[in-house]
Amino acid sequence: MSYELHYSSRDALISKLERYINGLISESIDLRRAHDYAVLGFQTAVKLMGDIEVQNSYARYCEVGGKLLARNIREYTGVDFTFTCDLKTDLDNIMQTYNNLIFRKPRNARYFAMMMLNIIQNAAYATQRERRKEQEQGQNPGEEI
Amino acid sequence: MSEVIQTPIDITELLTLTGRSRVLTEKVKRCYALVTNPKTFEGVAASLRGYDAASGGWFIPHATHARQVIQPIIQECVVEPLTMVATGSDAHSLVTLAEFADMLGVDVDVRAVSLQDIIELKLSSCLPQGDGKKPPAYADLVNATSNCLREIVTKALVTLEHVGAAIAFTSRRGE
Repeated sequence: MSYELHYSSRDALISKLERYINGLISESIDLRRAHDYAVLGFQTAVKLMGDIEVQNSYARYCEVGGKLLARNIREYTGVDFTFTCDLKTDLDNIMQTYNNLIFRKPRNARYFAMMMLNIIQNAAYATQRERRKEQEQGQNPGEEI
Repeated sequence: MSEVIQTPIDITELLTLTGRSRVLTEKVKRCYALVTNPKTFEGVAASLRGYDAASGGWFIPHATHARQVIQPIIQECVVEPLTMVATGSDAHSLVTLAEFADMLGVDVDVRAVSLQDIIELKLSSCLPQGDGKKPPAYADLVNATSNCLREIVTKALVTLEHVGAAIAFTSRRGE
């Protein structure tokens, strides 16, 4: 089951995700606080996950870049993550992996959350770009972008 | 990225960060003094020298006696202060324990073990294990015990410093 978010809702969720990712990146934020950001970030990602456009964008991004992303994640966190390119399945696996990692290797878990939320954010960003493109095409029909 | 970073301890900063609790501050101050004082380790050596192998000590694993020698300091400088800041099974407490275990290089899921278990696992890896057949090499045992104690207490102080920082940040933001 999916839904279509209004673009303003999607934009707001992307901004929220940005804030949580920045919290995970920031060296001045300690592990306990970083864990809070990761949890809130995953909740925001779940909301984005339901959006059909984000799902499609994620699938395209993942099919093209999944192998490289998986290698990057393995090198930085030691986690072997297999992307299915289905956002619902992957997000479920991401959250399970994070929950198993945070209480064993918290610093690696932090990197893992940061990278995964960034991937979802990138997929969501792409929908913004597509919308702008459509808007521009609508305003200037026939013009090449 | 996964290697343990040895954070240098600045006692002034440490006290500022943990200063919200007078009891904790006093503990941190005393424990910092303990692990930076060579006399502590002379005391460890003196206690180990008193180990009486003739009365059955040969058959006690080396680590067992070394554990007894450093137990009071670990209790005061690791167990008590960490228990004060990681009080339960909430996520922040568990992350605090996980950070401590990770810094010590103990690979465990802290949902399944206690702070005591983490310390025991560390002691088992950093103290020489006796085989019950020959007495320990005295110098090796003293060195290992001193290094082990210093590492466990120092990492506990670093963990406390991080928790203090978290409290300070939260407080500053009025959250």
